[in-house]
Amino acid sequence: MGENNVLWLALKGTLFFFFLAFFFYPLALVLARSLSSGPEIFALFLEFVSSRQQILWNSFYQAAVSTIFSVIVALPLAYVVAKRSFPGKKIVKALSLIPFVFPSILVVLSFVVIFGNNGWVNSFLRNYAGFSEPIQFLYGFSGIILAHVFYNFPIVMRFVSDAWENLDVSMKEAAKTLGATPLNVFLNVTLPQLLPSILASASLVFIFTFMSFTIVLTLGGIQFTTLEVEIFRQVSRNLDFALSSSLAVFQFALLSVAAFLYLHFSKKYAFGERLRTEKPIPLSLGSLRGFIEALVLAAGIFFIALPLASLFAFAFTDPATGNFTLKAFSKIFSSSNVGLFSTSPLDSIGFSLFLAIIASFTATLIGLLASLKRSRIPFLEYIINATLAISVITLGFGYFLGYGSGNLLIIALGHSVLAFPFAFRIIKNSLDKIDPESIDAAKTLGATDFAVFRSVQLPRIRGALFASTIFSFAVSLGELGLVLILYDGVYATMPVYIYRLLTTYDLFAATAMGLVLVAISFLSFYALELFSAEAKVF
Amino acid sequence: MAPEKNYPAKLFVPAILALLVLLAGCAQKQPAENELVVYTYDSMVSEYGLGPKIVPKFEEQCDCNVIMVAKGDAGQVLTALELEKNNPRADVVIGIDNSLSSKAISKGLLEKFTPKNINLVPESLRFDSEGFLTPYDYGFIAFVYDSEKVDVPLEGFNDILSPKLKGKIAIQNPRTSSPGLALLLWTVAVYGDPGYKEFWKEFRPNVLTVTQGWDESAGLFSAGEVPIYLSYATSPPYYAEFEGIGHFLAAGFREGHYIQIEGMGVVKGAKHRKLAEQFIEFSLDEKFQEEVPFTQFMFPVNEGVELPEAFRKYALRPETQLELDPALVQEKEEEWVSEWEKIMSSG
Repeated sequence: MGENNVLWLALKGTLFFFFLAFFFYPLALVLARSLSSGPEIFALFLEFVSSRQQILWNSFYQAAVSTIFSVIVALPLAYVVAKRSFPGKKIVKALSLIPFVFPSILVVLSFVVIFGNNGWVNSFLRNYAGFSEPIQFLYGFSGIILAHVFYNFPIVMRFVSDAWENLDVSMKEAAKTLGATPLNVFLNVTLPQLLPSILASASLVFIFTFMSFTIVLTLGGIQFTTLEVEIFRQVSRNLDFALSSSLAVFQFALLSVAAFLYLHFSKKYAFGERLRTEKPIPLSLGSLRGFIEALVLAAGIFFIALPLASLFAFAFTDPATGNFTLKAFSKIFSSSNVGLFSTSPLDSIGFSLFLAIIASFTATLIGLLASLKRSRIPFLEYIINATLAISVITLGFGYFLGYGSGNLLIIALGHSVLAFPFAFRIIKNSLDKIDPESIDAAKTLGATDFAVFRSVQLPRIRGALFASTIFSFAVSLGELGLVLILYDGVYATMPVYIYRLLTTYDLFAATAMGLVLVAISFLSFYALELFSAEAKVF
Repeated sequence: MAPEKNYPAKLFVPAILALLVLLAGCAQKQPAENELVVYTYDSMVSEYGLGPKIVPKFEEQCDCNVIMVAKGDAGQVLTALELEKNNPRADVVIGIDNSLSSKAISKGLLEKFTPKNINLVPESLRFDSEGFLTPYDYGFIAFVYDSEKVDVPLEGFNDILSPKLKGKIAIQNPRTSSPGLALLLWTVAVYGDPGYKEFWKEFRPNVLTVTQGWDESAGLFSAGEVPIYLSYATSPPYYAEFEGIGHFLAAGFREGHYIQIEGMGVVKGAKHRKLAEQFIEFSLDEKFQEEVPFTQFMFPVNEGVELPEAFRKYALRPETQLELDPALVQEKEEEWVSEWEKIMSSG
């Protein structure tokens, strides 16, 4: 037993040290930098914020509207995915996670290809409906909302459908027995049960859209700018670290509230092991109801797959002739001019995978330590969860100040910090699901905590550990901001490579590379659906 | 029950410790004696960039090892230098243009150095009179258009205001992008202050969107979303040479074009000052300069270099080059950008 305690203590220490080194220390450096210019920074900050209330309001307003619409669009689809079985369900579920890795510049591009002035919709209207002028709604507020909803509704769908599938049906049946109408059952029983999952995913979407940068600027037309843009500008144009850090701290404080809500609501619906749940029934087109459900599903798949399809079409088109071509792909896979220090596309895939593998294992281990009763540190999880609310610019500069740049391992560990909130939640939910009685029983028989972990807990959270690894893997794979601050130009990951191609005119090869990134992520998400169907990710 | 030694966490603790040792090891690596560290922006080190072409050439003649380190865009390069000010790793910085130069100099990031062969560069391109930065390439801001889609003449600022171009132009945000800022400065150079405000009020309806960086605007143009975007007078050679498209042209404006000159300099506190100076001298040499056109899509500063055919045919070389005094830009930039923002977000 004594040895055990030492080991647990060592694990606790490891957890603490990890967060000290990769969260508190870098952030303290940023804060110190912000305060180093003396007390006038407060005056400067207040003046800045009060003179730009519009920017704050813009950030908040577009994020709120984006979130509400994402939820509204997601709910019907979440119902069908949770309650019906249909061929290809695993593919749909895997596709729904793609937005986590989709580079936002490619989201913009896909919208332009579909809804732009010469996009699919307008070409159709021009050729078949006799419109002479293209309809323009892509630029301005409507464009931002449209792109944000497309980008984020699959996340809400995924959270809510996982929760829906695992609802305990006893209450619902009781209400039915008491003569409640289906609508009443839904409003008074099902909806309150679903609410935590809706609010958890909504908090997440709110954070994502509040910090959205490329979409807001490019599609926002000429009027929109956000707080995140100002942070970026103060750092990289004005070299004003004091102001940018204070803005970053301010944004962090605002969004921490949403991050707190995310964790709070997430915990409210840990899926119990012994709940009576309904098995999904096959989707049938026989009834009006079945028909409507099929329609909802078709629309959902259409909207999830459409941006991807448009990019496929784009990458395979020759810009000069408009014909089918493999040029973009052959360019990225046959590099002509790779010097000593520059990265070939295959290298970049390798770097990305290397980073993502280290990041995913670390995030999962740390997530596990933070979840286990004996190694967790109370309250720390609330603070750490706040990484969701940190802009990568802030975190990146913290690492830069603390550890310098050009270190692949630091980048990987940074990615694991970004992935932690997801890893933690997946593992914690799965651990909480284990019936406490079986743990007590093992303990009564004299099993040590390690033995309990090994023989009772570990077998039941294997799926969750796998899910956490895959998910953290994807978070790392798609991350650009941190890499751009911390790499030395040598380890160009796939997102960096895409950025590189874009800054050297080649939109087509960039799109092709984006599709490679999407394909790798899709395969890993699909593996997740195949091999750990039991582990509810959200 | 089960013996604890099977438990993987026992391996995990040493693994984390090993990682930390590794980290500490990485953090302490020091540059060697004959090693030159160059900081630059990302596209310089891309496989199609200038870096891979010139580094082997320089290494051959200096008997040294060049480490080229990319840091995102030019702004981020300066950020890195500022952060490392007390213990700089870089010896040379490449990519500080005439709109960033005063910032870099006033922050004390550079050391004075003028190479012996500076006479290879025409007087008009030596943009830093204080002697910190040596130019290596230059270009002009211009509107690039698809001549098959644009049927109005584009020969001056007046033409770009044509109501026929409503919602047909993509530009970049002066808050986040250097060409975006250069366009704003260009209009100040042409119309003066406060005259530029009137221009922007009239120009506003023709702008479809203001993007964060140059790359998004170029993307919108490539995707056929806008027939005109803010780019460089030396962009058309790219489309002609690498995409076989000869009808993407740069509009030559009679008022003249705002010039962007990119320079390099010795980093203050450089540990390999001799090599740094040698490198900057080399940058004006033909061996370096001849690689500039097709990697940077800019003009080389050494006029002895013969331009490739695509440049002679498709690049626009304006007769009048416009420029504002860097000190004035430094002083007024914030005000101009704020005014610009007010105009663009009104209505």
